[in-house]
Amino acid sequence: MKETKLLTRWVGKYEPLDLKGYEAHGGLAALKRALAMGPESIIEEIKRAGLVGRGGAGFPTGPKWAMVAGEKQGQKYLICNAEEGEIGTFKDKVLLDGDPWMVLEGILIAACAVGAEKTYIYINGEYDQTVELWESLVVEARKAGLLGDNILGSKISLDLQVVKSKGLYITGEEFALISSLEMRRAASRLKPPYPTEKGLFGRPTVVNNVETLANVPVILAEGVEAYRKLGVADEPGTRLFSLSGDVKKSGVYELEIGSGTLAEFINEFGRGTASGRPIKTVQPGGGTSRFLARDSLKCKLTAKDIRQAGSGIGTAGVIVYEEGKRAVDIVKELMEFYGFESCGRCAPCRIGVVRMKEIIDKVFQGEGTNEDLEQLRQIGKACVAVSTCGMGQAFPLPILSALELFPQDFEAAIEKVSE
Amino acid sequence: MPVTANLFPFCRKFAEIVHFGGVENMKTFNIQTYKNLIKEVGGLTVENSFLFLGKVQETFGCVPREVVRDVAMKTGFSEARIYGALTSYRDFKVGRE
Repeated sequence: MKETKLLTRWVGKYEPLDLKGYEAHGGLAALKRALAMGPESIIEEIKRAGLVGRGGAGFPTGPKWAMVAGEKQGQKYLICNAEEGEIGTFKDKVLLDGDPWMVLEGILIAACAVGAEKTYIYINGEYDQTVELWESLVVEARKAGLLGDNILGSKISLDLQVVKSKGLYITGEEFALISSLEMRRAASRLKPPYPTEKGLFGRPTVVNNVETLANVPVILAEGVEAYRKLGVADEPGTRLFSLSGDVKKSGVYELEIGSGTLAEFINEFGRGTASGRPIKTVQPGGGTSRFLARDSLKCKLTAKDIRQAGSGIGTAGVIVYEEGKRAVDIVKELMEFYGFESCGRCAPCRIGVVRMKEIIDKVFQGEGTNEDLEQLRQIGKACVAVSTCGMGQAFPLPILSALELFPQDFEAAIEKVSE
Repeated sequence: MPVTANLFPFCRKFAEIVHFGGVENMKTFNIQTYKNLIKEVGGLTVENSFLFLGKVQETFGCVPREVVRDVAMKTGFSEARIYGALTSYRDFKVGRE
Protein backbone atom coordinates (compact mmCIF):
# COMPACT_ATOMS: atom_id res chain seq x y z
CA MET A 1 0.00 0.00 0.00
CA LYS A 2 1.51 3.28 -1.12
CA GLU A 3 0.63 6.94 -1.06
CA THR A 4 -0.55 8.31 -4.40
CA LYS A 5 0.42 11.96 -4.52
CA LEU A 6 -1.95 13.82 -6.78
CA LEU A 7 -3.38 16.72 -4.76
CA THR A 8 -0.39 16.88 -2.45
CA ARG A 9 2.22 16.55 -5.22
CA TRP A 10 3.43 20.16 -4.83
CA VAL A 11 2.84 20.57 -1.11
CA GLY A 12 5.95 22.15 0.36
CA LYS A 13 7.74 22.25 -3.00
CA TYR A 14 7.65 26.04 -3.21
CA GLU A 15 7.37 28.99 -0.84
CA PRO A 16 3.65 29.52 -0.14
CA LEU A 17 3.55 33.07 -1.53
CA ASP A 18 5.83 32.39 -4.49
CA LEU A 19 3.64 32.39 -7.61
CA LYS A 20 6.68 31.95 -9.93
CA GLY A 21 7.65 28.78 -8.07
CA TYR A 22 4.12 27.47 -8.50
CA GLU A 23 4.17 28.21 -12.21
CA ALA A 24 7.57 26.53 -12.53
CA HIS A 25 6.00 23.29 -11.29
CA GLY A 26 3.31 23.55 -13.94
CA GLY A 27 0.72 25.59 -12.09
CA LEU A 28 -1.86 27.87 -13.72
CA ALA A 29 -1.95 25.66 -16.84
CA ALA A 30 -5.39 24.42 -15.80
CA LEU A 31 -6.71 27.95 -15.31
CA LYS A 32 -5.47 29.07 -18.74
CA ARG A 33 -7.07 26.00 -20.30
CA ALA A 34 -10.32 26.63 -18.41
CA LEU A 35 -10.51 30.25 -19.57
CA ALA A 36 -10.10 29.09 -23.17
CA MET A 37 -12.69 26.31 -22.76
CA GLY A 38 -15.67 28.29 -21.50
CA PRO A 39 -18.05 27.47 -18.63
CA GLU A 40 -20.13 24.73 -20.28
CA SER A 41 -17.15 22.58 -21.24
CA ILE A 42 -15.58 22.96 -17.76
CA ILE A 43 -18.75 21.66 -16.12
CA GLU A 44 -18.94 18.89 -18.72
CA GLU A 45 -15.36 17.81 -17.91
CA ILE A 46 -16.00 17.80 -14.16
CA LYS A 47 -19.16 15.76 -14.71
CA ARG A 48 -17.25 13.27 -16.87
CA ALA A 49 -14.51 13.02 -14.24
CA GLY A 50 -17.18 11.98 -11.71
CA LEU A 51 -15.91 14.26 -8.95
CA VAL A 52 -17.92 14.05 -5.72
CA GLY A 53 -17.75 16.52 -2.83
CA ARG A 54 -15.17 15.71 -0.18
CA GLY A 55 -16.79 17.65 2.65
CA GLY A 56 -18.86 14.85 4.12
CA ALA A 57 -22.17 14.71 2.28
CA GLY A 58 -20.63 13.45 -0.97
CA PHE A 59 -22.79 15.38 -3.42
CA PRO A 60 -21.56 15.25 -7.07
CA THR A 61 -19.77 18.50 -7.92
CA GLY A 62 -20.59 18.74 -11.65
CA PRO A 63 -24.40 18.70 -11.25
CA LYS A 64 -24.14 21.18 -8.35
CA TRP A 65 -22.27 23.65 -10.55
CA ALA A 66 -24.66 23.09 -13.44
CA MET A 67 -27.60 24.06 -11.22
CA VAL A 68 -26.00 27.41 -10.36
CA ALA A 69 -24.65 28.03 -13.87
CA GLY A 70 -28.21 27.59 -15.21
CA GLU A 71 -29.23 30.84 -13.51
CA LYS A 72 -28.16 33.44 -16.04
CA GLN A 73 -29.06 36.77 -14.47
CA GLY A 74 -27.89 38.58 -11.37
CA GLN A 75 -25.24 38.02 -8.75
CA LYS A 76 -23.98 34.54 -7.93
CA TYR A 77 -21.64 33.50 -5.13
CA LEU A 78 -19.03 30.82 -4.56
CA ILE A 79 -17.89 29.87 -1.08
CA CYS A 80 -14.89 27.68 -0.36
CA ASN A 81 -15.64 25.94 2.91
CA ALA A 82 -12.42 25.64 4.91
CA GLU A 83 -14.14 25.64 8.29
CA GLU A 84 -13.18 22.00 8.96
CA GLY A 85 -14.47 21.74 12.50
CA GLU A 86 -15.15 18.02 12.40
CA ILE A 87 -13.42 15.98 15.10
CA GLY A 88 -10.42 14.10 13.75
CA THR A 89 -10.24 15.97 10.45
CA PHE A 90 -7.28 18.15 9.50
CA LYS A 91 -6.73 17.44 5.80
CA ASP A 92 -7.69 20.87 4.43
CA LYS A 93 -4.99 22.65 6.42
CA VAL A 94 -2.33 20.70 4.53
CA LEU A 95 -3.63 22.03 1.21
CA LEU A 96 -4.28 25.57 2.47
CA ASP A 97 -0.78 25.91 3.93
CA GLY A 98 1.25 23.70 1.63
CA ASP A 99 -0.19 24.43 -1.80
CA PRO A 100 -2.40 27.53 -1.51
CA TRP A 101 -2.07 28.55 -5.17
CA MET A 102 -3.63 25.28 -6.30
CA VAL A 103 -6.64 25.86 -4.02
CA LEU A 104 -6.88 29.42 -5.36
CA GLU A 105 -6.72 28.09 -8.92
CA GLY A 106 -9.54 25.69 -8.08
CA ILE A 107 -11.63 28.55 -6.69
CA LEU A 108 -11.00 30.66 -9.81
CA ILE A 109 -11.92 27.83 -12.20
CA ALA A 110 -15.06 27.03 -10.23
CA ALA A 111 -16.07 30.69 -10.19
CA CYS A 112 -15.54 30.93 -13.96
CA ALA A 113 -17.61 27.78 -14.50
CA VAL A 114 -20.61 28.90 -12.47
CA GLY A 115 -20.28 32.59 -13.33
CA ALA A 116 -19.79 33.80 -9.77
CA GLU A 117 -18.15 37.22 -9.41
CA LYS A 118 -17.90 37.27 -5.64
CA THR A 119 -16.11 34.43 -3.92
CA TYR A 120 -15.35 33.78 -0.27
CA ILE A 121 -13.01 31.46 1.54
CA TYR A 122 -14.27 30.73 5.03
CA ILE A 123 -11.34 29.54 7.16
CA ASN A 124 -11.50 27.94 10.60
CA GLY A 125 -10.96 30.53 13.35
CA GLU A 126 -8.23 28.47 14.95
CA TYR A 127 -6.04 28.52 11.83
CA ASP A 128 -4.53 31.94 12.58
CA GLN A 129 -1.44 31.56 10.41
CA THR A 130 -3.45 30.15 7.52
CA VAL A 131 -5.72 33.20 7.57
CA GLU A 132 -2.70 35.52 7.55
CA LEU A 133 -1.15 33.56 4.69
CA TRP A 134 -4.34 33.75 2.65
CA GLU A 135 -4.72 37.48 3.25
CA SER A 136 -1.27 38.10 1.80
CA LEU A 137 -1.97 35.56 -0.93
CA VAL A 138 -4.97 37.59 -2.09
CA VAL A 139 -2.79 40.72 -2.26
CA GLU A 140 -0.19 38.82 -4.33
CA ALA A 141 -2.90 37.43 -6.61
CA ARG A 142 -4.30 40.93 -7.22
CA LYS A 143 -0.81 42.12 -8.19
CA ALA A 144 -0.38 39.18 -10.58
CA GLY A 145 -3.76 39.84 -12.20
CA LEU A 146 -5.39 36.64 -10.99
CA LEU A 147 -8.00 38.55 -9.03
CA GLY A 148 -9.76 41.77 -9.92
CA ASP A 149 -11.11 42.94 -13.27
CA ASN A 150 -10.39 40.91 -16.43
CA ILE A 151 -8.30 38.13 -14.93
CA LEU A 152 -5.42 37.00 -17.18
CA GLY A 153 -6.74 39.11 -20.03
CA SER A 154 -10.17 37.46 -20.15
CA LYS A 155 -13.54 39.16 -19.68
CA ILE A 156 -14.11 37.65 -16.26
CA SER A 157 -13.93 39.75 -13.10
CA LEU A 158 -13.46 38.09 -9.75
CA ASP A 159 -12.97 39.00 -6.15
CA LEU A 160 -11.98 36.77 -3.25
CA GLN A 161 -12.58 37.64 0.37
CA VAL A 162 -10.91 35.80 3.23
CA VAL A 163 -13.28 35.30 6.14
CA LYS A 164 -12.16 34.00 9.49
CA SER A 165 -14.73 31.85 11.22
CA LYS A 166 -15.75 33.06 14.65
CA GLY A 167 -15.55 29.88 16.63
CA LEU A 168 -18.65 27.74 16.18
CA TYR A 169 -18.62 24.16 14.98
CA ILE A 170 -21.98 24.54 13.25
CA THR A 171 -20.60 27.11 10.77
CA GLY A 172 -19.15 24.18 8.83
CA GLU A 173 -22.70 23.40 7.73
CA GLU A 174 -23.43 25.21 4.49
CA PHE A 175 -26.55 27.12 5.55
CA ALA A 176 -25.05 28.08 8.92
CA LEU A 177 -22.01 29.39 7.04
CA ILE A 178 -24.24 31.40 4.72
CA SER A 179 -26.22 32.74 7.70
CA SER A 180 -23.06 33.99 9.35
CA LEU A 181 -22.00 35.88 6.22
CA GLU A 182 -25.50 37.39 6.12
CA MET A 183 -24.96 38.72 9.65
CA ARG A 184 -27.37 36.33 11.30
CA ARG A 185 -26.64 33.86 14.02
CA ALA A 186 -25.19 30.60 12.73
CA ALA A 187 -28.05 28.16 12.35
CA SER A 188 -29.18 25.69 9.76
CA ARG A 189 -32.33 26.12 7.67
CA LEU A 190 -34.93 23.79 6.26
CA LYS A 191 -34.09 22.37 2.83
CA PRO A 192 -35.25 22.81 0.09
CA PRO A 193 -34.59 25.47 -1.14
CA TYR A 194 -30.94 24.41 -1.36
CA PRO A 195 -28.09 26.96 -1.48
CA THR A 196 -27.83 26.34 -5.21
CA GLU A 197 -31.29 27.91 -5.58
CA LYS A 198 -31.48 30.41 -2.73
CA GLY A 199 -28.24 30.82 -0.85
CA LEU A 200 -26.23 33.84 0.22
CA PHE A 201 -28.47 36.96 0.18
CA GLY A 202 -31.12 34.91 -1.61
CA ARG A 203 -28.91 34.32 -4.66
CA PRO A 204 -27.66 30.98 -6.07
CA THR A 205 -24.53 29.92 -4.19
CA VAL A 206 -22.03 27.11 -4.56
CA VAL A 207 -20.46 25.86 -1.34
CA ASN A 208 -17.52 23.51 -1.95
CA ASN A 209 -14.95 21.93 0.32
CA VAL A 210 -11.25 22.81 -0.08
CA GLU A 211 -10.33 19.31 -1.19
CA THR A 212 -13.08 19.27 -3.82
CA LEU A 213 -11.82 22.55 -5.29
CA ALA A 214 -8.21 21.33 -5.19
CA ASN A 215 -9.29 18.41 -7.38
CA VAL A 216 -10.54 20.76 -10.11
CA PRO A 217 -7.18 22.08 -11.46
CA VAL A 218 -5.79 18.54 -11.27
CA ILE A 219 -8.61 17.19 -13.44
CA LEU A 220 -8.21 19.97 -16.02
CA ALA A 221 -4.41 19.74 -16.11
CA GLU A 222 -4.06 15.95 -16.20
CA GLY A 223 -7.12 15.26 -18.33
CA VAL A 224 -10.26 13.34 -17.45
CA GLU A 225 -9.00 9.97 -18.70
CA ALA A 226 -5.82 10.07 -16.62
CA TYR A 227 -7.85 11.11 -13.57
CA ARG A 228 -10.40 8.34 -14.01
CA LYS A 229 -7.63 5.72 -14.16
CA LEU A 230 -7.12 6.29 -10.43
CA GLY A 231 -9.60 4.97 -7.93
CA VAL A 232 -12.61 2.77 -8.66
CA ALA A 233 -15.28 3.21 -11.34
CA ASP A 234 -17.89 4.92 -9.11
CA GLU A 235 -15.37 7.02 -7.21
CA PRO A 236 -12.38 8.09 -9.28
CA GLY A 237 -9.38 9.92 -7.93
CA THR A 238 -7.64 10.08 -4.60
CA ARG A 239 -8.68 11.09 -1.13
CA LEU A 240 -6.90 12.70 1.80
CA PHE A 241 -7.24 10.63 4.96
CA SER A 242 -6.48 12.20 8.33
CA LEU A 243 -5.40 9.51 10.76
CA SER A 244 -5.52 10.18 14.49
CA GLY A 245 -6.33 8.59 17.81
CA ASP A 246 -4.41 5.72 19.36
CA VAL A 247 -1.85 5.17 16.61
CA LYS A 248 1.92 5.52 16.70
CA LYS A 249 2.07 7.94 13.77
CA SER A 250 -0.87 10.16 12.99
CA GLY A 251 -1.02 12.43 9.98
CA VAL A 252 -2.58 13.20 6.63
CA TYR A 253 -2.09 10.63 3.88
CA GLU A 254 -3.27 10.77 0.30
CA LEU A 255 -4.44 7.41 -0.98
CA GLU A 256 -5.96 6.17 -4.18
CA ILE A 257 -9.61 5.39 -3.47
CA GLY A 258 -10.04 1.65 -2.96
CA SER A 259 -6.30 0.88 -2.97
CA GLY A 260 -6.32 -1.03 0.30
CA THR A 261 -8.32 -1.89 3.37
CA LEU A 262 -8.88 0.16 6.49
CA ALA A 263 -6.89 -2.30 8.62
CA GLU A 264 -3.90 -2.15 6.25
CA PHE A 265 -4.06 1.64 6.25
CA ILE A 266 -3.99 1.83 10.06
CA ASN A 267 -1.21 -0.73 10.38
CA GLU A 268 1.07 0.58 7.64
CA PHE A 269 0.70 4.33 7.96
CA GLY A 270 -0.26 4.53 11.61
CA ARG A 271 2.29 1.81 12.48
CA GLY A 272 -0.19 0.03 14.72
CA THR A 273 -1.80 1.18 17.93
CA ALA A 274 0.03 3.39 20.41
CA SER A 275 0.41 0.83 23.19
CA GLY A 276 0.50 -2.29 21.01
CA ARG A 277 -2.88 -3.50 22.22
CA PRO A 278 -5.29 -4.53 19.45
CA ILE A 279 -7.75 -2.06 17.93
CA LYS A 280 -11.08 -1.87 19.69
CA THR A 281 -12.99 0.29 17.28
CA VAL A 282 -12.55 2.87 14.53
CA GLN A 283 -14.51 5.88 13.39
CA PRO A 284 -13.73 6.12 9.67
CA GLY A 285 -15.41 9.45 8.89
CA GLY A 286 -14.79 11.92 11.68
CA GLY A 287 -16.46 12.24 15.05
CA THR A 288 -20.02 11.93 13.76
CA SER A 289 -19.63 8.59 11.99
CA ARG A 290 -20.70 5.21 13.35
CA PHE A 291 -18.14 3.01 15.09
CA LEU A 292 -16.79 0.04 13.17
CA ALA A 293 -16.08 -3.21 14.99
CA ARG A 294 -12.66 -4.87 14.64
CA ASP A 295 -14.09 -7.51 12.28
CA SER A 296 -15.38 -4.97 9.77
CA LEU A 297 -11.99 -3.31 9.26
CA LYS A 298 -11.39 -5.50 6.22
CA CYS A 299 -13.50 -3.16 4.09
CA LYS A 300 -11.86 -1.27 1.23
CA LEU A 301 -11.30 2.47 1.48
CA THR A 302 -14.20 3.49 -0.72
CA ALA A 303 -17.38 5.26 0.37
CA LYS A 304 -19.50 2.33 -0.83
CA ASP A 305 -17.57 -0.39 1.03
CA ILE A 306 -17.42 1.59 4.27
CA ARG A 307 -21.15 2.20 4.01
CA GLN A 308 -21.72 -1.52 3.56
CA ALA A 309 -19.52 -2.23 6.58
CA GLY A 310 -21.94 -0.11 8.62
CA SER A 311 -20.46 3.38 8.78
CA GLY A 312 -19.80 6.31 6.46
CA ILE A 313 -16.64 7.81 4.98
CA GLY A 314 -17.78 11.38 5.75
CA THR A 315 -14.75 13.66 5.90
CA ALA A 316 -12.33 10.70 5.89
CA GLY A 317 -11.01 11.47 9.37
CA VAL A 318 -10.04 8.06 10.70
CA ILE A 319 -10.04 7.94 14.50
CA VAL A 320 -8.64 4.79 16.10
CA TYR A 321 -9.48 3.59 19.62
CA GLU A 322 -7.48 0.76 21.14
CA GLU A 323 -8.60 -2.08 23.39
CA GLY A 324 -8.88 -1.05 27.02
CA LYS A 325 -10.92 2.10 26.41
CA ARG A 326 -14.52 1.93 27.56
CA ALA A 327 -17.21 2.84 25.04
CA VAL A 328 -18.91 4.88 27.78
CA ASP A 329 -15.85 7.13 28.11
CA ILE A 330 -15.51 7.64 24.37
CA VAL A 331 -19.18 8.47 23.97
CA LYS A 332 -19.11 10.83 26.95
CA GLU A 333 -16.25 12.78 25.43
CA LEU A 334 -18.04 13.07 22.08
CA MET A 335 -21.29 14.11 23.75
CA GLU A 336 -19.57 16.84 25.73
CA PHE A 337 -18.42 18.37 22.46
CA TYR A 338 -21.78 18.13 20.70
CA GLY A 339 -23.68 19.33 23.75
CA PHE A 340 -21.53 22.45 23.68
CA GLU A 341 -21.91 22.99 19.94
CA SER A 342 -25.62 22.47 19.21
CA CYS A 343 -26.92 25.70 17.65
CA GLY A 344 -30.42 25.47 19.16
CA ARG A 345 -32.25 26.07 15.91
CA CYS A 346 -34.42 22.93 16.02
CA ALA A 347 -35.86 21.23 19.08
CA PRO A 348 -34.77 17.59 18.63
CA CYS A 349 -31.08 18.52 18.62
CA ARG A 350 -31.36 21.32 21.21
CA ILE A 351 -33.25 19.25 23.76
CA GLY A 352 -32.06 15.80 22.70
CA VAL A 353 -28.40 16.65 23.07
CA VAL A 354 -28.90 17.81 26.66
CA ARG A 355 -31.01 14.80 27.65
CA MET A 356 -28.58 12.35 26.06
CA LYS A 357 -25.68 14.05 27.80
CA GLU A 358 -27.48 13.79 31.14
CA ILE A 359 -28.15 10.08 30.67
CA ILE A 360 -24.58 9.35 29.62
CA ASP A 361 -23.24 11.29 32.61
CA LYS A 362 -25.54 9.24 34.81
CA VAL A 363 -24.31 5.98 33.30
CA PHE A 364 -20.71 7.20 33.57
CA GLN A 365 -21.10 7.86 37.27
CA GLY A 366 -22.51 4.36 37.66
CA GLU A 367 -26.08 5.37 38.41
CA GLY A 368 -27.69 4.27 35.15
CA THR A 369 -30.40 1.69 34.62
CA ASN A 370 -31.53 -0.40 31.68
CA GLU A 371 -34.41 2.01 31.10
CA ASP A 372 -31.88 4.80 30.71
CA LEU A 373 -30.15 2.96 27.88
CA GLU A 374 -33.50 2.32 26.20
CA GLN A 375 -34.32 6.02 26.51
CA LEU A 376 -30.92 6.91 25.06
CA ARG A 377 -31.74 4.77 22.03
CA GLN A 378 -35.16 6.35 21.57
CA ILE A 379 -33.94 9.94 21.83
CA GLY A 380 -31.07 9.18 19.46
CA LYS A 381 -33.36 7.68 16.83
CA ALA A 382 -35.78 10.61 17.12
CA CYS A 383 -32.91 13.07 16.68
CA VAL A 384 -31.66 11.31 13.56
CA ALA A 385 -35.15 11.21 12.09
CA VAL A 386 -36.34 14.80 12.56
CA SER A 387 -33.36 17.14 12.89
CA THR A 388 -32.94 19.88 10.30
CA CYS A 389 -29.24 19.79 9.59
CA GLY A 390 -26.41 17.32 9.26
CA MET A 391 -25.22 17.77 12.82
CA GLY A 392 -28.50 16.79 14.46
CA GLN A 393 -28.89 13.87 12.09
CA ALA A 394 -25.37 12.63 12.71
CA PHE A 395 -24.31 13.20 16.32
CA PRO A 396 -26.42 10.35 17.80
CA LEU A 397 -24.98 7.84 15.30
CA PRO A 398 -21.80 7.01 17.27
CA ILE A 399 -23.85 6.54 20.42
CA LEU A 400 -26.42 4.32 18.74
CA SER A 401 -23.70 2.21 17.15
CA ALA A 402 -21.78 2.00 20.45
CA LEU A 403 -24.93 0.68 22.15
CA GLU A 404 -25.18 -1.93 19.41
CA LEU A 405 -21.52 -2.93 19.25
CA PHE A 406 -20.45 -2.73 22.89
CA PRO A 407 -23.49 -3.48 25.06
CA GLN A 408 -21.18 -5.17 27.57
CA ASP A 409 -19.43 -1.84 28.33
CA PHE A 410 -22.70 -0.13 29.16
CA GLU A 411 -24.01 -3.09 31.12
CA ALA A 412 -20.82 -3.22 33.17
CA ALA A 413 -21.20 0.46 33.97
CA ILE A 414 -24.78 -0.11 35.11
CA GLU A 415 -24.05 -3.20 37.16
CA LYS A 416 -21.45 -1.45 39.26
CA VAL A 417 -24.20 0.45 41.08
CA SER A 418 -26.55 -2.35 41.74
CA GLU A 419 -23.88 -4.29 43.60
CA MET B 1 -31.90 47.33 53.31
CA PRO B 2 -32.74 44.92 50.52
CA VAL B 3 -30.19 42.24 49.72
CA THR B 4 -30.18 43.09 46.02
CA ALA B 5 -28.72 46.52 46.68
CA ASN B 6 -25.75 44.95 48.39
CA LEU B 7 -25.37 42.38 45.67
CA PHE B 8 -25.73 44.81 42.82
CA PRO B 9 -22.12 46.11 42.64
CA PHE B 10 -20.88 42.55 42.76
CA CYS B 11 -23.28 41.49 39.99
CA ARG B 12 -22.19 44.40 37.85
CA LYS B 13 -18.52 43.52 38.24
CA PHE B 14 -19.25 39.86 37.55
CA ALA B 15 -21.22 40.69 34.42
CA GLU B 16 -18.33 42.75 33.09
CA ILE B 17 -15.91 39.91 33.49
CA VAL B 18 -18.22 37.30 32.00
CA HIS B 19 -19.79 39.16 29.11
CA PHE B 20 -16.93 41.33 28.04
CA GLY B 21 -14.32 38.65 28.46
CA GLY B 22 -12.21 40.65 30.90
CA VAL B 23 -11.96 44.39 30.56
CA GLU B 24 -8.17 44.31 30.48
CA ASN B 25 -8.17 42.61 27.05
CA MET B 26 -9.81 45.57 25.38
CA LYS B 27 -7.65 48.15 23.71
CA THR B 28 -8.70 51.74 23.44
CA PHE B 29 -10.72 52.57 20.39
CA ASN B 30 -8.89 54.67 17.86
CA ILE B 31 -10.87 56.34 15.09
CA GLN B 32 -7.90 56.49 12.70
CA THR B 33 -7.21 52.75 13.03
CA TYR B 34 -10.88 52.14 12.45
CA LYS B 35 -10.90 54.22 9.28
CA ASN B 36 -7.84 52.36 8.02
CA LEU B 37 -9.63 49.07 8.60
CA ILE B 38 -12.52 50.24 6.42
CA LYS B 39 -10.03 51.23 3.73
CA GLU B 40 -8.36 47.83 4.01
CA VAL B 41 -11.55 45.92 3.18
CA GLY B 42 -12.33 48.33 0.36
CA GLY B 43 -15.35 50.10 1.78
CA LEU B 44 -17.99 48.77 4.09
CA THR B 45 -20.76 46.88 2.29
CA VAL B 46 -23.42 44.33 3.13
CA GLU B 47 -21.25 41.58 1.65
CA ASN B 48 -18.12 42.15 3.73
CA SER B 49 -19.63 43.40 6.98
CA PHE B 50 -19.16 40.09 8.80
CA LEU B 51 -15.47 39.82 8.04
CA PHE B 52 -15.06 43.52 8.79
CA LEU B 53 -16.49 43.05 12.29
CA GLY B 54 -14.09 40.12 12.69
CA LYS B 55 -11.21 42.46 11.92
CA VAL B 56 -12.53 45.05 14.39
CA GLN B 57 -12.70 42.35 17.06
CA GLU B 58 -9.11 41.34 16.42
CA THR B 59 -7.80 44.88 16.36
CA PHE B 60 -9.57 46.28 19.43
CA GLY B 61 -10.25 43.10 21.41
CA CYS B 62 -13.97 43.81 21.25
CA VAL B 63 -16.59 45.34 18.98
CA PRO B 64 -17.39 48.76 20.47
CA ARG B 65 -21.03 49.85 20.43
CA GLU B 66 -20.14 52.88 18.29
CA VAL B 67 -18.87 50.52 15.61
CA VAL B 68 -22.12 48.56 15.68
CA ARG B 69 -24.03 51.80 15.15
CA ASP B 70 -21.72 52.82 12.32
CA VAL B 71 -21.96 49.44 10.57
CA ALA B 72 -25.74 49.49 10.95
CA MET B 73 -25.89 52.92 9.34
CA LYS B 74 -23.57 52.05 6.45
CA THR B 75 -24.98 48.63 5.59
CA GLY B 76 -28.67 48.98 6.41
CA PHE B 77 -28.70 46.05 8.80
CA SER B 78 -30.64 46.83 11.96
CA GLU B 79 -28.59 47.20 15.13
CA ALA B 80 -30.60 44.38 16.65
CA ARG B 81 -29.55 42.02 13.88
CA ILE B 82 -25.89 42.87 14.34
CA TYR B 83 -26.08 42.43 18.11
CA GLY B 84 -27.91 39.14 17.50
CA ALA B 85 -25.05 37.88 15.38
CA LEU B 86 -22.27 39.24 17.60
CA THR B 87 -23.61 37.72 20.79
CA SER B 88 -24.14 34.31 19.23
CA TYR B 89 -20.53 33.76 18.10
CA ARG B 90 -18.05 32.71 20.71
CA ASP B 91 -15.12 34.84 19.52
CA PHE B 92 -16.97 38.16 19.48
CA LYS B 93 -17.20 40.46 22.46
CA VAL B 94 -19.42 43.51 22.59
CA GLY B 95 -17.68 46.49 24.11
CA ARG B 96 -19.09 49.04 26.50
CA GLU B 97 -20.35 52.49 25.63
